[in-house]
Amino acid sequence: MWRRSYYQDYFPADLLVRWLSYSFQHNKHLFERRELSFTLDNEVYVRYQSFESAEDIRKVLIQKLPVKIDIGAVYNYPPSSQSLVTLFTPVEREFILDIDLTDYEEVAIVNSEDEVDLCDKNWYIIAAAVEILDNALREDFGFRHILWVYSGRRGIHGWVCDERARRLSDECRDSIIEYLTVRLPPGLKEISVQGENFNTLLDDSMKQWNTLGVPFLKRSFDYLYPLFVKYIVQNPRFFTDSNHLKKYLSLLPSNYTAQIEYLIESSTADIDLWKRIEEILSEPKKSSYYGFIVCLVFHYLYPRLDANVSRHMNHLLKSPFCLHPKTQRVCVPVSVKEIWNFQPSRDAPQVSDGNLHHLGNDEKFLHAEKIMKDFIENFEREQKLETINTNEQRLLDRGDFV
Amino acid sequence: MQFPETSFSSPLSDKKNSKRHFLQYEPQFYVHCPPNEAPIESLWEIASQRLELLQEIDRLRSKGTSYQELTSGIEKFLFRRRHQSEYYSYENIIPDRLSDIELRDVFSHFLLRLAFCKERSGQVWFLQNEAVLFQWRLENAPSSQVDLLVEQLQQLCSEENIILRKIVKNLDLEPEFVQLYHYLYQKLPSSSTLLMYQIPFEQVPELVKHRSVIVRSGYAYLFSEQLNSFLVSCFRSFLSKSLGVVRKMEHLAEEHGQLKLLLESLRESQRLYINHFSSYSFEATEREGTGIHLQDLPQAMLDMPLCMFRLMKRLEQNHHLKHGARLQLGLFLKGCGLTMDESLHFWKTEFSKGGISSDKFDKEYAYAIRHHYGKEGKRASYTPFSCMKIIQNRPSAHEEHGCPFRELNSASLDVMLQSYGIQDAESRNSIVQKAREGHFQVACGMTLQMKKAGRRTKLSEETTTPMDNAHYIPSHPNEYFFKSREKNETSLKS
Repeated sequence: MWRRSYYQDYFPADLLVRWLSYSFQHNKHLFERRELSFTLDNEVYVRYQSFESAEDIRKVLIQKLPVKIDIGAVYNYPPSSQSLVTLFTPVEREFILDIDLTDYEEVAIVNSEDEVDLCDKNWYIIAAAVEILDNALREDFGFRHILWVYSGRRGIHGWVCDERARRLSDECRDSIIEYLTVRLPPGLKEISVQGENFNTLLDDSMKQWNTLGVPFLKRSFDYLYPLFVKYIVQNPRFFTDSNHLKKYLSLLPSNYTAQIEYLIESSTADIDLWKRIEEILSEPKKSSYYGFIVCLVFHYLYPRLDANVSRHMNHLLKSPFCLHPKTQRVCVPVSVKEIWNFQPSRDAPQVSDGNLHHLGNDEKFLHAEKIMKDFIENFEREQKLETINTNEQRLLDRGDFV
Repeated sequence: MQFPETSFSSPLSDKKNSKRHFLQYEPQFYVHCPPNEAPIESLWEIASQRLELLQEIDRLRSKGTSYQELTSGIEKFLFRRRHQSEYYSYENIIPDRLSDIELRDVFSHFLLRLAFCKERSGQVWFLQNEAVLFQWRLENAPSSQVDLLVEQLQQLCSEENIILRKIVKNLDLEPEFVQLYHYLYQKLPSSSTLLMYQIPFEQVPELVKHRSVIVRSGYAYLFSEQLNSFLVSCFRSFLSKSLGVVRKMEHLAEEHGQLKLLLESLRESQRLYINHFSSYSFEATEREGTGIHLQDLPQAMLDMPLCMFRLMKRLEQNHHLKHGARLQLGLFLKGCGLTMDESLHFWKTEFSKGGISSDKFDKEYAYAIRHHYGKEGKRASYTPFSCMKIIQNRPSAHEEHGCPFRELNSASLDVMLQSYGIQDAESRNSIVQKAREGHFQVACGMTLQMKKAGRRTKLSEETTTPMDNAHYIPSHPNEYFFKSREKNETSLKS
């Protein structure tokens, strides 16, 4: 049974424990209060598991052979003794993000029957999302330790591990998620493929997008626009397929729609066509419809976050190095530097009976372990430095520093 | 410690009467209650005055008044108060009357804090209205006083290791600050340097949420225009925390006989206020013979407020409603005049269409209906829910009760309004808009008005008289119902 031997010989339980201990002194008091949750074969959830060591985890993994391992919050007591205490409550938890390509179905420009294939070909959506979010979390919110993990099928998870992030109240989690969420005019999503002229209310809400007054949105647009041109506009299907540009044209006043439709019919689908459409929409200067383009760029590429995952401390999220129950792919950590080159079908090892004994030498698997290890070591190094600095400061303050 | 009251100047103190009411005193966080003594009569007086003002604020707020109207409402109230106290002042009767204006403010605040800490609903009510009072005072306070508050806040923050810093930004180097300032205030900053307040972003979740601040490296940068709302939110969070603390020690105050009496009387007058304000006495209408009976129900449906209309529709379609919805609708129908036997008949007929046998109905549902009418259990006759109660009683995912203006998303609300008879898309849109802004009762009042407007134009095209209930804001579904019917009858006659 390959799952048993994966847990026995390959699953890096020691890395998991070391990561979740958040301690350069390898102090495990945080880890002991962390909830792990297992999903068993028959869809049975076993919640509130907690462990003292990597060996401990491995033993139970081999015994229960869960199809999925989730990580929950750190509680005030070890979750396994949950039933014995009166006040049992989560005290800290990474700030987590979840993006899934399933939420992008109507804008994924490459269609394919094959789900796996779909994920590879539309990975640019995930890559752009990761870059935008990673940048905002670092530059705006000042976080430094962000781990991105491929979700095993068609998405990615982000774990913000700074102590400050782990301590955020639910209210603050919500405020960050809202900050990072862009709400477009609802017509973009609700529009029918037949494309009957939607309603006039939309015009105004779209015009608000002509200027991006909020610096964060402006920055995001400036980042996304070249990617939009590269991945969406350069794909001829964008113009020809009735599910793309043509569908959204019905949101514009009819004289614009007619003009642009004529243009599409009479020219080749390329970047020049796009430039001319942009020109049409930018006129007249005073009340142009450039907001339409801004909306499209956000609609196609801006991260669509599953906000409920992030809002509450006690939400569960699949553990790194867990096997995805459907694809059997390892949920490998991905470094932001490599996000554009990552190809799920190629770079996430798939576990099956046949290949299991190779896993020990599998470059991809070893590389993933290295990313995880580097992440942990980086965290521990900074924590150590910080401790030294504060201790020094304390000595200085006391004045008996020789 | 006695201050001459005239030494305080503020834009609020009117020139003729330099004596300022203690409820107009400078804003503060009420961190400490000084250990001074005060005659109990004075405490009664100041505490009940403060409570009255908070109730006035609450009344104004629930009408959905704008901030300006709220402000002038508060000013009017205090003006009246000041005149009254000239006649009824205890000053001449009680020699050691508590005359220090600051102490009167602080004591009255702490007394109400004690009175309201006991129950969650009381805490919330007190917190919300005190926060409005604080905000109103803050906006009228001189800038020196605001600086003082910031200083006080810095001290309070440093106890919790939060750093609030005043910094000056050179805007030539920071185009993003200019951009955001222009976006928020539709104008450019008046100089190239700007005073800003730097604070960890965790302290201003509301501002972060709406992207109304620049967030950099974990700090939010507030424009001085945003300082007031930040101070109000600090006030709220301090008060909320301390209410929790006071609650644990409240029994100490109760040990003091006279104080206990005072606190109980405050709670009693609050109970009276809440009952008067939020419960609608339906018996009166029943006596007047405007109640409806079983045969009127189908026709009366369009007079029901949306929260009930929705449940009636759902019942028609599914022949079943969940408990919360049955309670909400059942009590409403009772309030409309349906007798218990009629109610039993109504529910039984509807449920039987959905395949619930008469036997099963008698066993599982009839009890609850008799219970509504006070014929079972503790034999209390239950009153129909008020708007407040319906708005606060939020349904879980698969339940249908609650206030539709709050619970439905824009699209479903729009559809619901259409089936309610509001054909004009623009009207529907403005109602949905109000509901999205959180003014559920205002949206509901507009619905009634627009439904009428639609019907009236159909009846007689020429009459374009403005509606006399243009600003009607319902506070109870049964009140809405009778108001709607009353209008029908008059318009049919004319």
